[in-house]
Amino acid sequence: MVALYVILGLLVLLAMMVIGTYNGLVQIRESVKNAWSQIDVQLKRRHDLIPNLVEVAKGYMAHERQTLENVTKARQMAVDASSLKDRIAAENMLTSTLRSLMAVAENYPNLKADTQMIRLHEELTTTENKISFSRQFYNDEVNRLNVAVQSFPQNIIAGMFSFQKAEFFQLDDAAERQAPQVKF
Amino acid sequence: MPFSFVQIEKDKTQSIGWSFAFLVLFYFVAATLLVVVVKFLIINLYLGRLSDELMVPVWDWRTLGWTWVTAGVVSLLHWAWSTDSIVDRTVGLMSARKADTVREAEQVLRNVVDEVTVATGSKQAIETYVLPTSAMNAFALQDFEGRSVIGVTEGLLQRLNRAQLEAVVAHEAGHLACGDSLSTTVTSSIFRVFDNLCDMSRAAMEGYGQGRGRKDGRIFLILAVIFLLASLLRFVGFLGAMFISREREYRADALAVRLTRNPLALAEALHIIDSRWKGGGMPGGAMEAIFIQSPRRNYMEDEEDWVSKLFTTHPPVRRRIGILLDMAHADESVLENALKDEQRRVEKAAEADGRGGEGAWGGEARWMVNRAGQWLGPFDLSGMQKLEGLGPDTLVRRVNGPAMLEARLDRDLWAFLPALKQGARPCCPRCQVPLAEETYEGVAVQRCQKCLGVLVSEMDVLTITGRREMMFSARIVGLANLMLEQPPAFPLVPGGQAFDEKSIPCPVCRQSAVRMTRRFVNRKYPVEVDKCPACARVWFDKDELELLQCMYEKTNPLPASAGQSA
Repeated sequence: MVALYVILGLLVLLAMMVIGTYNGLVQIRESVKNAWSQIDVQLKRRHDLIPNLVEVAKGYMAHERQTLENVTKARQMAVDASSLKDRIAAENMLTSTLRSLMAVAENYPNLKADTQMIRLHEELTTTENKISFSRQFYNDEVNRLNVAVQSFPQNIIAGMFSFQKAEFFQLDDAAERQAPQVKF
Repeated sequence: MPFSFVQIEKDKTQSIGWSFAFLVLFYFVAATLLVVVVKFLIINLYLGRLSDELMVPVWDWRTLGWTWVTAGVVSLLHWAWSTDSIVDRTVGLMSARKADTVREAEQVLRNVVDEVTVATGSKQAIETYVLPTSAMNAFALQDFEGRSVIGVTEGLLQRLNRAQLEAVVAHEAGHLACGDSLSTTVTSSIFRVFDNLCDMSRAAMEGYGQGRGRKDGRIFLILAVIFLLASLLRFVGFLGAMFISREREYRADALAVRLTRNPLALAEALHIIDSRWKGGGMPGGAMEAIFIQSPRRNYMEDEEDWVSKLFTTHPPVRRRIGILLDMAHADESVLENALKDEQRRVEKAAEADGRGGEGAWGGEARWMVNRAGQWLGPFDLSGMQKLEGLGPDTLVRRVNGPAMLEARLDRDLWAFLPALKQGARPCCPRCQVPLAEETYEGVAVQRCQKCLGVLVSEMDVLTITGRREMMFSARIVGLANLMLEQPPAFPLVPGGQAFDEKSIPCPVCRQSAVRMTRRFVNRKYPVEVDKCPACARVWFDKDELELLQCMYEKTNPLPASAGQSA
């Protein structure tokens, strides 16, 4: 009789542990989803900003059609991308083309002095910063999820309910390296 | 790191419970003591003389019960009053205003605050405020509903670059996330009531004393009693700093680094803020705990012993910068180089814009005037003279000038607009920042929060030299020894005085264009000071008062027996 109670008690304890762990995992997973949606908001914002930027820049830098076209093309690719992997690659591409646009813009004092351009430049700077901050937050949350999913004993429960590791939003190193070196 | 910002937000309510419990306890103890002491005095001094039979016990549960009920009600009222629309009132006290979208610098600030909010992953929006002063500081406020405010001064907006501004904002966001801001906002609001009471009763006493007509001694006595009680309570407010731990600042620094991943920028920002006026002596400057660095210069802040830790709200800035530099795997030289580069960049940008430099200052000067965030003008000098409501703290900017500053800091305006001097608080004769009252050896003195010079009335100098509670640092003692061994030559006749090109205006009598005379305190103690011939106040530069006192103590050692009998 006593043994039965002990076993029953242990079972209840185990069930409670499982429930607790499961809820914890759900919380982290949702937090990761939320973090991703934050990045999404910022990326969309950048997409909206680019046509204006290109429009203003066109008026001043007629000789840099190639650079401007690259930006527009990269934006279109990012908007069209369907899978997560494609999307990350396209956004990284867009970041690097925007950087080269800004570097080229340094050579056009009139463009730099344009009030609309000053405003757009500030908007773009803050959006880029928000993207990198939301990516940082997303990666932190992904890290939390990945650690939770892999460590014992959570991994048993994660396996049972098929919680999966999430993918980091990594900066493409190659794209970083391609960023032009500005020399004055 | 195991914790996320979402998790920290859960631990907030605890600190509020503690501050309320403290308030209730404080009123209970204070009321009990008051009743017991008053009863004791009445019985022993008054009734006791009439007859021994009238002696009643000091303790009596009935009275005590009533006292406690009253104390409970008063503490509830106090709590309700001081936590009602707390953010608005605190912001109003500092006359801060919301950052607008018109001015570029303020738009940048709003963007930076938004960026940091994104980095915390929190959905709670943070409001952005600007403090209209050229001082350098930043603060964060929060109320029970979770309304959050981050404010920075104009001076900070002007002198920090984007990365540094971001680091400062992230530090404040760190405070908000930890709930530090909530507890400091509430505590500072609670203790401000005592402060107000103290000021009000003093003003009433002075007004009554100066008023005409028949004077009633009893009313004056009542006012005096209120003033004494309020002063006592104000001291309790000082104790409130004990509940605010220094460690919070280290934690907020660490969180800022976690958010921006840029420890060097925060170190630079802290260094720049530390080397300038931080707003001591300004309205709101007394609420030390809400700021990134304490607006007042506090000697205890640089110490690490437990007493200093107990009574100060901020740790030594050098230590904070050291920790941040360690995080960046850098040392002081890296910081210095970064600051120099930044300086060069700023100068270059100013040159490119065609402003700054000596040439731009030539010609007829014209000013822009800041009114509630809007720039009016430009006005020339006669236009400025006609302008109404121009006070010493109004922000002005020279057309083509490098930076905005308070009207009192602009030499031409100061010289040609007598109206400025009338409304001005006593300001440091060297830095022009308002002097803050402080107590030195039990004497009220006024100290500049930038250069640490101090203004003392001549009578008080004697009182101060006579008292011996101050402890001196090894540096002061060394200097005093040196000056006693090798006294500097006396260029002046004994007791003589001289005006020279270095003479400064008296901070108090400056309307009358009186200048202070340079002289030694006296022949025995060759400390060079400035004395106002009109109001007999003495200006000591940094360390000079301490030096004088230390020299006096060395040459007049206390006899052993005198020390015991005193």
